[in-house]
Amino acid sequence: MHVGSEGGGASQDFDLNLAPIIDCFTVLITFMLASASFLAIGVFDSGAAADGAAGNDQKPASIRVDAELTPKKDIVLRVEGKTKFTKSLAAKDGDWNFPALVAEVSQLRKSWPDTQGMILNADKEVQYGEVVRAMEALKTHIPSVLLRGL
Amino acid sequence: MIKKKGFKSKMSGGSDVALQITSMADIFTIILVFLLKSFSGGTMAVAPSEGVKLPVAMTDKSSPPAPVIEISEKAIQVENTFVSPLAGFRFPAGELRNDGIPQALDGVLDKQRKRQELIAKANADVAVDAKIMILADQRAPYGTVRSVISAAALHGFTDFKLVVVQKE
Repeated sequence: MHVGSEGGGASQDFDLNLAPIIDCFTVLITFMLASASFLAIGVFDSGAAADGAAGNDQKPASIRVDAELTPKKDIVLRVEGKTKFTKSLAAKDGDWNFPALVAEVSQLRKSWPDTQGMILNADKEVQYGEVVRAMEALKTHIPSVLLRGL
Repeated sequence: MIKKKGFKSKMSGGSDVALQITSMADIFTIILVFLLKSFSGGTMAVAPSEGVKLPVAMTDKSSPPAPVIEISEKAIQVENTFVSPLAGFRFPAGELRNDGIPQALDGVLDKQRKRQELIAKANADVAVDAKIMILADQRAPYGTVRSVISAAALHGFTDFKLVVVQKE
């Protein structure tokens, strides 16, 4: 900082030298912009479901809902408990038929309101991004989507 | 007190001008404060490695503080530390145990859990946390992701936070 006085030493009038401060600010802003990540990162909540169990010690729901994504882009929906059925939701336009899965899950939740979660599984060759797409489709229709473990 | 400078010339026809620098300093200060606030806001807490393509999804939840497992094309990392090599997102032969759990990752997660337990014992305000962030490339086969999440669940990390890029 440069402090200059006018006239004699008793004067209080000084002039702040802003140029080096601006230099520092320019370097800092450039550094922060260069190191910043402009990706807006978010997270999906999920849990682990061991094979054959829902993964928690709460009172079991009336039904257990399992969905599995297959490499042929079919979705196999299995329901066990007070009602039992297995349904295969065929691929639509070469993609997984997530709207049909959502409709089935919504219908099941209407019939069995204590259903708070379901288990999502996928074939080992299915890409993780597709599993996340399935979770995204389901998240507003069922509170919890657990991932099937080994 | 900062004395403001303005455009001024020595003489009426002179070319010697002084740039008004005070307002520029104000603008730079605001930009700097904004950038610092963005950094501390947590939205930039997770930085994927180069080449990792995160899945894109609509979510409004931000990333909590938790250990991070990253699955990229060539490696698995825990807290930015190399754990296990991958070849095209797949575990090399011999890396997986008979039960499908990756050996090296199992050891690292065991250490992470024991460290958390030690901290929790020493400090009553700290609880052992089940949260873990899974930062996986969207092209990774689910078989690899399943092995990783199973290893995490085995050590009590059952609250998965799947990291995604927020859809516009």
